[in-house]
Amino acid sequence: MRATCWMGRNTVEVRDVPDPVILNQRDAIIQITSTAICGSDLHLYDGYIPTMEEGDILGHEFMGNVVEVGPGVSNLSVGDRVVVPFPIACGACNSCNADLYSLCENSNPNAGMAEKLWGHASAGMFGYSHLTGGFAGGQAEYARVPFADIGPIKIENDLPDHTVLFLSDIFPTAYMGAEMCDIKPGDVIAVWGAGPVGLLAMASAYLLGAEKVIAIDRFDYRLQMASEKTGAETINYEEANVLEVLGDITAGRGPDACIDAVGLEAHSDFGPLQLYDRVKQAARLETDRGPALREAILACRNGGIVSIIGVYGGLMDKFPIGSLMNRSITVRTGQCHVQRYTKPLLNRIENGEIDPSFVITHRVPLDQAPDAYEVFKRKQDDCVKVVLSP
Amino acid sequence: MARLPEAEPPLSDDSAQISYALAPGNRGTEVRVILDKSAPGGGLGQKVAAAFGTDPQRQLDDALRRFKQLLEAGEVIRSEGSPEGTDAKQQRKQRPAEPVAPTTGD
Repeated sequence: MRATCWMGRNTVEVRDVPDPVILNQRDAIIQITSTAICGSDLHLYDGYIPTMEEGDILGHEFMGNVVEVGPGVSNLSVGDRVVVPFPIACGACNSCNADLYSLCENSNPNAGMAEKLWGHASAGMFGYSHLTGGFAGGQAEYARVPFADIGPIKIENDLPDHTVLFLSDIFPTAYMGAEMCDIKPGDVIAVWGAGPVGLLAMASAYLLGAEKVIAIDRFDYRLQMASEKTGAETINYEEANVLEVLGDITAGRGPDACIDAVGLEAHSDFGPLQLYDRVKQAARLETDRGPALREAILACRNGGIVSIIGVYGGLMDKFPIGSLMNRSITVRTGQCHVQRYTKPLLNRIENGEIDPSFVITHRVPLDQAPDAYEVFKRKQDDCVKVVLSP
Repeated sequence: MARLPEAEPPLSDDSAQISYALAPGNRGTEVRVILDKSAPGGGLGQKVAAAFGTDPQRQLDDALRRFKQLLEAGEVIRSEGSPEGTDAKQQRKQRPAEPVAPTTGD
């Protein structure tokens, strides 16, 4: 089959690889009909996540048709149309029983590796380094899906792929980011990053009853999408002082909750700080650049919530712990527990409350993945979200 | 039960003390294994073993993970990078995450 493979920093190739086979009783093989490039794939592409191997198949947002099931899968049949959550979860451990699927205790065969870096391991994930298990991803024609009786959600309507595909990651991730803000009537929510997850977090914050949502980015085309598609107010941080503007909007209080939808490759318009983070990252003294998260913490109102859904990998410097501690700020975060959200969010899509496909700007054949990674990374051609068709 | 399945080499009362206890808060069973300190080669031997992924502690960690997977998930989970499942030696030298032929005979 054809598959998008990581071949080293800034290099992906679509190559011929063996077709997947059933390795575990509870596996299914999916013939992929649509798959997307995630902002977090850029962290792999750019070489910031350790433990990648040359040849790793990328991709953790995918859907398609079941073509084979292992003997341990009784709820799926050949021909079923499914969307696959990016965390792999057994459904039986204490974490899964607590609906904390991205912390599944049994799905990461390389848990020992992750424990060294993080103290404890997370669940296995598709196409996302060997720290999260070394599972082949879904930017390919086929994928093996372990614990297929727990993760995949059957799509039994005739909604097009692009409307339901994002149940695999970015819509639940964004929704969980908004849910973690405990939104109450009158709340103002600020979102750093108007990429696909940030945009869907803005839409989700409104779905959950926010009074006002504010989008912070530096790309006008993305801020324009935030304004037109979600109704958010916008701040271009290259043109305005974010803390001042947020203060003006909230009469000095600060947003009730701040969502970091940027993650470890955040950019700062404050040259020295950006340079400091870049140099430390290049020297491997720091893995995570922090201007977005630092600003989100400083902006947040006293006693407010900072919700981190942007991906971080390791260590960050100059973390404003004093601001956090002295102002009673709550931090909530996590890789999304996607399995918790697939059914309720599919219901919201079916009810017409939201169509997450508004973020899509590019649809290309799988073979054009290398070019698509470059366009997405460089934010060329007003790129927000790329969907690949195998 | 004094034997820990999935340990390689198998652990028994001769090399380890294994105990089981109910976890607080109704969270299942805690398994504790205390390895015999007089492992071959002493301290230096263990450091060398660790470098080659054969450190008894890491092997034990992996055995406990495999045991837990077997009990809770029904089988040992395999990935393309770790086709034989949790194993310290394999974690040091991963194969690329692309499909593999099945490793056991079905």
